Amino acid sequence: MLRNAFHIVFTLLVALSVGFGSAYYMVENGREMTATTYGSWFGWPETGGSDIDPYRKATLARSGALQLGRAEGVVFTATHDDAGENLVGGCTYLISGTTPSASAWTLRAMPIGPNVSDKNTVYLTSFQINRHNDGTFDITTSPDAQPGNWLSTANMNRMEFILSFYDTNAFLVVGQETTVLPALQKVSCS
Amino acid sequence: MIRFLTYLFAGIVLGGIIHISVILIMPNLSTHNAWTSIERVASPNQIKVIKREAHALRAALDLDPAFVYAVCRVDLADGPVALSGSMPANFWTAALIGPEGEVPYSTNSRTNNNRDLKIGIFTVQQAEMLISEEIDIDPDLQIIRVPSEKLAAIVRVLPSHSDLASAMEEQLGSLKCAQL
Repeated sequence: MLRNAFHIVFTLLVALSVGFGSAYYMVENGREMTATTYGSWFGWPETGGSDIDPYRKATLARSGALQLGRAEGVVFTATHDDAGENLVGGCTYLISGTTPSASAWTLRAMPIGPNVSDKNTVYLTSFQINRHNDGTFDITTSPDAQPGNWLSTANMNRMEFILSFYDTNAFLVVGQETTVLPALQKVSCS
Repeated sequence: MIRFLTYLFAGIVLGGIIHISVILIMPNLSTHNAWTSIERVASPNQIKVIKREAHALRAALDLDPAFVYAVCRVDLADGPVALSGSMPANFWTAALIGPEGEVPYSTNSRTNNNRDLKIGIFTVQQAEMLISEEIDIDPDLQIIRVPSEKLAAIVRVLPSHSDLASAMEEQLGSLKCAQL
Protein backbone atom coordinates (compact mmCIF):
# COMPACT_ATOMS: atom_id res chain seq x y z
CA MET A 1 0.00 0.00 0.00
CA LEU A 2 2.67 2.44 1.13
CA ARG A 3 4.85 1.34 -1.73
CA ASN A 4 2.11 2.05 -4.28
CA ALA A 5 1.54 5.50 -2.79
CA PHE A 6 5.25 6.18 -3.07
CA HIS A 7 5.24 5.16 -6.72
CA ILE A 8 2.27 7.44 -7.51
CA VAL A 9 3.88 10.38 -5.71
CA PHE A 10 7.14 9.69 -7.54
CA THR A 11 5.35 9.58 -10.91
CA LEU A 12 3.52 12.82 -10.18
CA LEU A 13 6.72 14.57 -9.08
CA VAL A 14 8.45 13.47 -12.28
CA ALA A 15 5.45 14.59 -14.36
CA LEU A 16 5.23 18.03 -12.70
CA SER A 17 8.99 18.60 -12.89
CA VAL A 18 9.23 17.53 -16.51
CA GLY A 19 6.00 19.31 -17.57
CA PHE A 20 6.42 22.68 -15.88
CA GLY A 21 10.23 22.67 -16.02
CA SER A 22 10.40 22.04 -19.76
CA ALA A 23 7.60 24.56 -20.46
CA TYR A 24 9.42 27.21 -18.41
CA TYR A 25 12.69 26.42 -20.18
CA MET A 26 11.13 26.67 -23.62
CA VAL A 27 9.47 30.01 -22.85
CA GLU A 28 12.49 31.55 -21.14
CA ASN A 29 15.46 30.01 -22.93
CA GLY A 30 14.16 27.85 -25.72
CA ARG A 31 14.77 30.34 -28.49
CA GLU A 32 17.76 28.32 -29.74
CA MET A 33 15.27 25.61 -30.68
CA THR A 34 12.57 27.78 -32.26
CA ALA A 35 14.29 30.93 -33.58
CA THR A 36 16.05 31.44 -36.90
CA THR A 37 19.61 32.66 -36.48
CA TYR A 38 21.82 34.76 -38.75
CA GLY A 39 25.24 35.05 -37.12
CA SER A 40 24.67 36.59 -33.68
CA TRP A 41 21.12 37.63 -34.55
CA PHE A 42 18.06 35.54 -33.81
CA GLY A 43 14.40 36.13 -34.63
CA TRP A 44 11.15 34.58 -35.78
CA PRO A 45 10.64 35.72 -39.40
CA GLU A 46 7.97 33.07 -40.06
CA THR A 47 5.61 34.48 -37.45
CA GLY A 48 3.60 37.65 -37.88
CA GLY A 49 0.42 36.16 -39.27
CA SER A 50 -2.53 34.27 -37.87
CA ASP A 51 -0.54 31.05 -37.54
CA ILE A 52 1.99 31.64 -34.78
CA ASP A 53 4.10 28.80 -33.43
CA PRO A 54 2.63 27.83 -29.98
CA TYR A 55 6.00 28.37 -28.27
CA ARG A 56 6.31 31.84 -29.79
CA LYS A 57 2.73 32.59 -28.73
CA ALA A 58 3.51 31.50 -25.16
CA THR A 59 6.72 33.55 -25.16
CA LEU A 60 4.82 36.63 -26.35
CA ALA A 61 2.16 36.07 -23.67
CA ARG A 62 4.85 35.97 -21.01
CA SER A 63 6.91 38.91 -22.28
CA GLY A 64 3.94 41.16 -23.15
CA ALA A 65 5.66 42.23 -26.36
CA LEU A 66 3.61 43.29 -29.36
CA GLN A 67 4.48 41.29 -32.43
CA LEU A 68 4.98 42.83 -35.87
CA GLY A 69 2.66 41.68 -38.65
CA ARG A 70 4.04 40.19 -41.86
CA ALA A 71 3.62 43.43 -43.83
CA GLU A 72 5.12 45.39 -40.96
CA GLY A 73 8.46 43.74 -40.45
CA VAL A 74 10.77 41.32 -38.69
CA VAL A 75 12.73 41.79 -35.48
CA PHE A 76 16.12 40.25 -34.70
CA THR A 77 17.93 40.35 -31.36
CA ALA A 78 21.56 39.82 -30.42
CA THR A 79 22.64 39.18 -26.84
CA HIS A 80 26.16 38.00 -27.78
CA ASP A 81 28.81 39.24 -30.17
CA ASP A 82 30.13 37.10 -33.02
CA ALA A 83 32.68 35.51 -30.65
CA GLY A 84 29.81 34.36 -28.39
CA GLU A 85 30.56 36.78 -25.53
CA ASN A 86 27.80 38.65 -23.69
CA LEU A 87 27.17 42.22 -24.85
CA VAL A 88 28.22 44.80 -22.26
CA GLY A 89 27.53 48.53 -22.42
CA GLY A 90 31.06 49.41 -21.29
CA CYS A 91 32.59 47.77 -24.37
CA THR A 92 32.94 49.14 -27.89
CA TYR A 93 31.38 47.07 -30.69
CA LEU A 94 31.51 47.39 -34.45
CA ILE A 95 28.30 46.47 -36.31
CA SER A 96 29.20 46.35 -39.98
CA GLY A 97 28.10 45.05 -43.34
CA THR A 98 24.85 45.37 -45.21
CA THR A 99 21.21 44.81 -44.45
CA PRO A 100 18.59 42.97 -46.52
CA SER A 101 16.24 45.06 -48.63
CA ALA A 102 13.65 46.87 -46.47
CA SER A 103 11.75 50.17 -46.53
CA ALA A 104 13.37 51.09 -43.22
CA TRP A 105 15.32 49.53 -40.37
CA THR A 106 16.20 50.53 -36.85
CA LEU A 107 18.93 49.43 -34.45
CA ARG A 108 18.30 49.65 -30.72
CA ALA A 109 20.60 49.08 -27.75
CA MET A 110 18.67 48.08 -24.63
CA PRO A 111 19.83 47.16 -21.15
CA ILE A 112 18.84 43.66 -20.02
CA GLY A 113 17.16 43.39 -16.65
CA PRO A 114 14.05 44.25 -14.69
CA ASN A 115 12.38 47.67 -14.91
CA VAL A 116 13.76 48.45 -18.36
CA SER A 117 12.07 51.55 -19.72
CA ASP A 118 12.33 52.85 -23.26
CA LYS A 119 13.93 55.91 -21.65
CA ASN A 120 17.07 53.73 -21.36
CA THR A 121 16.91 52.68 -25.01
CA VAL A 122 19.02 54.36 -27.67
CA TYR A 123 18.50 53.85 -31.37
CA LEU A 124 19.54 54.68 -34.92
CA THR A 125 17.40 54.41 -38.03
CA SER A 126 18.38 53.57 -41.60
CA PHE A 127 17.72 57.21 -42.51
CA GLN A 128 20.43 58.41 -40.12
CA ILE A 129 23.22 56.10 -41.28
CA ASN A 130 26.19 57.24 -43.35
CA ARG A 131 27.19 54.51 -45.80
CA HIS A 132 30.33 53.69 -47.78
CA ASN A 133 30.24 53.97 -51.57
CA ASP A 134 29.44 50.26 -51.92
CA GLY A 135 26.38 50.55 -49.65
CA THR A 136 27.97 48.91 -46.61
CA PHE A 137 28.08 50.71 -43.27
CA ASP A 138 29.91 50.68 -39.95
CA ILE A 139 28.14 51.50 -36.70
CA THR A 140 30.21 51.88 -33.56
CA THR A 141 28.45 51.31 -30.26
CA SER A 142 30.37 52.63 -27.31
CA PRO A 143 29.91 54.51 -24.03
CA ASP A 144 32.26 57.17 -25.43
CA ALA A 145 31.58 59.42 -28.42
CA GLN A 146 32.91 57.97 -31.70
CA PRO A 147 33.36 59.41 -35.20
CA GLY A 148 30.88 58.27 -37.89
CA ASN A 149 27.76 56.30 -37.03
CA TRP A 150 27.70 56.08 -33.24
CA LEU A 151 25.21 54.51 -30.83
CA SER A 152 25.84 55.46 -27.21
CA THR A 153 25.74 52.61 -24.68
CA ALA A 154 26.67 54.74 -21.68
CA ASN A 155 25.15 53.62 -18.36
CA MET A 156 24.33 50.14 -19.67
CA ASN A 157 25.68 46.96 -18.15
CA ARG A 158 24.40 43.74 -19.79
CA MET A 159 22.60 44.75 -22.94
CA GLU A 160 21.14 43.52 -26.21
CA PHE A 161 20.89 44.91 -29.71
CA ILE A 162 17.57 44.80 -31.53
CA LEU A 163 17.60 45.11 -35.31
CA SER A 164 14.13 45.64 -36.82
CA PHE A 165 13.48 45.50 -40.56
CA TYR A 166 10.28 47.14 -41.75
CA ASP A 167 8.52 46.11 -44.95
CA THR A 168 10.88 43.35 -46.00
CA ASN A 169 10.36 39.97 -47.61
CA ALA A 170 14.03 39.02 -47.47
CA PHE A 171 13.31 36.34 -44.86
CA LEU A 172 10.26 34.80 -46.47
CA VAL A 173 11.20 34.29 -50.10
CA VAL A 174 13.24 31.61 -51.79
CA GLY A 175 16.90 32.37 -51.25
CA GLN A 176 16.46 33.57 -47.67
CA GLU A 177 19.24 31.18 -46.67
CA THR A 178 21.70 33.50 -48.44
CA THR A 179 20.52 36.52 -46.41
CA VAL A 180 23.29 37.96 -44.27
CA LEU A 181 22.84 40.29 -41.32
CA PRO A 182 25.55 42.70 -40.14
CA ALA A 183 28.59 41.34 -38.30
CA LEU A 184 28.86 42.20 -34.60
CA GLN A 185 32.42 42.36 -33.35
CA LYS A 186 33.87 43.52 -30.05
CA VAL A 187 36.58 46.16 -30.53
CA SER A 188 37.63 46.87 -26.94
CA CYS A 189 36.41 47.15 -23.38
CA SER A 190 37.04 50.05 -21.03
CA MET B 1 14.14 -1.90 -11.37
CA ILE B 2 11.66 -2.51 -14.19
CA ARG B 3 8.86 -1.18 -12.00
CA PHE B 4 10.89 1.96 -11.23
CA LEU B 5 11.55 2.55 -14.95
CA THR B 6 7.86 2.01 -15.71
CA TYR B 7 6.83 4.70 -13.19
CA LEU B 8 9.60 6.99 -14.47
CA PHE B 9 8.40 6.54 -18.04
CA ALA B 10 4.79 7.20 -16.96
CA GLY B 11 5.94 10.38 -15.23
CA ILE B 12 7.76 11.57 -18.35
CA VAL B 13 4.73 10.87 -20.57
CA LEU B 14 2.45 12.70 -18.12
CA GLY B 15 5.03 15.52 -18.01
CA GLY B 16 4.82 15.78 -21.80
CA ILE B 17 1.05 16.21 -21.58
CA ILE B 18 1.48 18.91 -18.88
CA HIS B 19 4.13 20.62 -21.06
CA ILE B 20 1.82 20.81 -24.09
CA SER B 21 -1.12 21.96 -21.94
CA VAL B 22 0.91 24.74 -20.27
CA ILE B 23 2.24 26.03 -23.61
CA LEU B 24 -1.23 26.04 -25.19
CA ILE B 25 -3.08 27.51 -22.18
CA MET B 26 -0.54 30.23 -21.29
CA PRO B 27 -1.71 32.82 -23.91
CA ASN B 28 -5.28 32.56 -22.57
CA LEU B 29 -4.31 32.93 -18.93
CA SER B 30 -1.73 35.68 -19.29
CA THR B 31 -2.72 38.88 -17.50
CA HIS B 32 0.08 41.07 -18.83
CA ASN B 33 0.29 40.28 -22.52
CA ALA B 34 0.09 42.89 -25.29
CA TRP B 35 -3.69 42.59 -25.51
CA THR B 36 -4.29 43.27 -21.80
CA SER B 37 -1.86 46.24 -21.90
CA ILE B 38 -3.81 47.78 -24.80
CA GLU B 39 -7.14 46.94 -23.17
CA ARG B 40 -6.11 48.90 -20.08
CA VAL B 41 -5.34 52.13 -21.94
CA ALA B 42 -7.70 52.18 -24.93
CA SER B 43 -11.48 52.44 -25.02
CA PRO B 44 -13.46 50.44 -27.60
CA ASN B 45 -13.59 52.01 -31.07
CA GLN B 46 -11.59 55.10 -30.14
CA ILE B 47 -8.13 56.15 -31.26
CA LYS B 48 -5.57 56.38 -28.49
CA VAL B 49 -2.13 57.83 -29.23
CA ILE B 50 0.63 56.14 -27.24
CA LYS B 51 2.61 59.23 -26.33
CA ARG B 52 6.38 59.16 -26.31
CA GLU B 53 6.21 59.97 -22.61
CA ALA B 54 4.29 56.74 -21.88
CA HIS B 55 7.59 54.96 -21.20
CA ALA B 56 6.16 52.14 -19.08
CA LEU B 57 3.54 51.17 -21.67
CA ARG B 58 5.99 51.44 -24.56
CA ALA B 59 8.46 49.24 -22.67
CA ALA B 60 5.74 46.71 -21.75
CA LEU B 61 4.76 46.37 -25.40
CA ASP B 62 8.44 46.41 -26.47
CA LEU B 63 7.69 49.18 -28.97
CA ASP B 64 10.44 50.46 -31.23
CA PRO B 65 11.20 53.95 -29.83
CA ALA B 66 11.89 55.30 -33.33
CA PHE B 67 8.16 55.12 -34.14
CA VAL B 68 5.04 57.04 -33.16
CA TYR B 69 2.01 54.88 -32.28
CA ALA B 70 -1.76 54.95 -32.08
CA VAL B 71 -4.00 52.06 -31.06
CA CYS B 72 -7.71 51.37 -31.22
CA ARG B 73 -9.56 48.57 -29.46
CA VAL B 74 -11.85 47.22 -32.14
CA ASP B 75 -15.12 45.71 -30.93
CA LEU B 76 -17.18 44.23 -33.76
CA ALA B 77 -20.02 42.96 -31.53
CA ASP B 78 -22.31 45.80 -32.64
CA GLY B 79 -21.19 46.00 -36.25
CA PRO B 80 -18.17 46.54 -38.50
CA VAL B 81 -15.62 49.23 -37.69
CA ALA B 82 -13.73 51.57 -40.04
CA LEU B 83 -10.21 52.79 -39.37
CA SER B 84 -9.54 55.77 -41.56
CA GLY B 85 -7.75 59.05 -41.87
CA SER B 86 -5.01 61.03 -43.50
CA MET B 87 -1.55 59.52 -43.17
CA PRO B 88 1.79 61.36 -43.30
CA ALA B 89 4.19 60.95 -46.21
CA ASN B 90 6.59 59.01 -43.96
CA PHE B 91 6.80 55.22 -43.76
CA TRP B 92 3.90 53.79 -41.76
CA THR B 93 2.33 50.44 -40.97
CA ALA B 94 -1.07 49.34 -39.67
CA ALA B 95 -1.96 45.96 -38.18
CA LEU B 96 -4.79 44.15 -36.43
CA ILE B 97 -3.76 42.14 -33.37
CA GLY B 98 -5.81 39.35 -31.81
CA PRO B 99 -6.07 38.65 -28.06
CA GLU B 100 -3.44 35.89 -28.31
CA GLY B 101 -0.94 38.05 -30.18
CA GLU B 102 -1.81 36.75 -33.64
CA VAL B 103 -1.80 39.32 -36.47
CA PRO B 104 -4.60 38.50 -38.95
CA TYR B 105 -3.94 41.62 -41.06
CA SER B 106 -1.13 44.10 -41.64
CA THR B 107 -0.23 46.64 -44.28
CA ASN B 108 2.30 49.39 -44.83
CA SER B 109 2.57 52.68 -46.72
CA ARG B 110 4.33 51.09 -49.70
CA THR B 111 1.82 48.28 -50.26
CA ASN B 112 -0.94 50.82 -49.67
CA ASN B 113 0.57 53.00 -52.44
CA ASN B 114 1.01 55.81 -49.89
CA ARG B 115 -2.72 56.43 -49.92
CA ASP B 116 -4.61 57.40 -46.82
CA LEU B 117 -5.68 54.71 -44.42
CA LYS B 118 -9.18 53.47 -45.12
CA ILE B 119 -9.95 49.95 -43.90
CA GLY B 120 -13.24 48.37 -42.92
CA ILE B 121 -12.96 45.62 -40.32
CA PHE B 122 -15.68 42.96 -40.58
CA THR B 123 -16.28 39.58 -39.02
CA VAL B 124 -16.80 36.81 -41.57
CA GLN B 125 -20.58 36.93 -40.96
CA GLN B 126 -20.71 40.73 -41.33
CA ALA B 127 -18.76 40.53 -44.59
CA GLU B 128 -21.18 37.90 -45.92
CA MET B 129 -24.11 40.10 -44.93
CA LEU B 130 -22.49 43.02 -46.73
CA ILE B 131 -22.49 41.03 -49.95
CA SER B 132 -25.87 39.32 -49.58
CA GLU B 133 -27.74 42.49 -48.58
CA GLU B 134 -25.81 44.69 -51.04
CA ILE B 135 -25.17 47.35 -48.43
CA ASP B 136 -23.72 50.59 -49.82
CA ILE B 137 -20.30 51.46 -48.44
CA ASP B 138 -17.44 53.74 -49.51
CA PRO B 139 -15.95 52.02 -52.60
CA ASP B 140 -12.44 53.03 -51.46
CA LEU B 141 -12.89 51.15 -48.20
CA GLN B 142 -10.60 48.13 -48.07
CA ILE B 143 -12.63 45.26 -46.56
CA ILE B 144 -10.76 43.15 -43.99
CA ARG B 145 -12.40 39.95 -42.76
CA VAL B 146 -11.24 38.87 -39.31
CA PRO B 147 -11.94 35.70 -37.32
CA SER B 148 -12.83 37.33 -33.96
CA GLU B 149 -14.97 40.22 -32.70
CA LYS B 150 -12.28 41.66 -30.45
CA LEU B 151 -9.05 43.01 -31.90
CA ALA B 152 -6.64 45.87 -31.49
CA ALA B 153 -5.59 48.03 -34.42
CA ILE B 154 -2.14 49.55 -34.17
CA VAL B 155 -0.76 52.24 -36.47
CA ARG B 156 2.97 53.03 -36.50
CA VAL B 157 4.67 55.97 -38.21
CA LEU B 158 8.42 56.43 -38.54
CA PRO B 159 9.20 60.18 -38.36
CA SER B 160 12.16 61.21 -40.49
CA HIS B 161 13.41 63.14 -37.46
CA SER B 162 12.54 62.76 -33.78
CA ASP B 163 11.56 66.45 -33.63
CA LEU B 164 8.63 65.63 -35.93
CA ALA B 165 7.23 63.06 -33.49
CA SER B 166 4.79 65.49 -31.83
CA ALA B 167 3.32 66.53 -35.18
CA MET B 168 2.96 62.85 -36.13
CA GLU B 169 1.24 62.09 -32.83
CA GLU B 170 -1.21 64.89 -33.52
CA GLN B 171 -1.92 63.53 -36.99
CA LEU B 172 -2.42 59.99 -35.67
CA GLY B 173 -4.76 61.38 -33.02
CA SER B 174 -7.03 62.65 -35.79
CA LEU B 175 -7.54 59.14 -37.24
CA LYS B 176 -11.07 57.80 -36.96
CA CYS B 177 -11.81 54.40 -35.50
CA ALA B 178 -15.59 54.11 -35.38
CA GLN B 179 -18.51 51.89 -36.27
CA LEU B 180 -19.60 52.03 -39.89
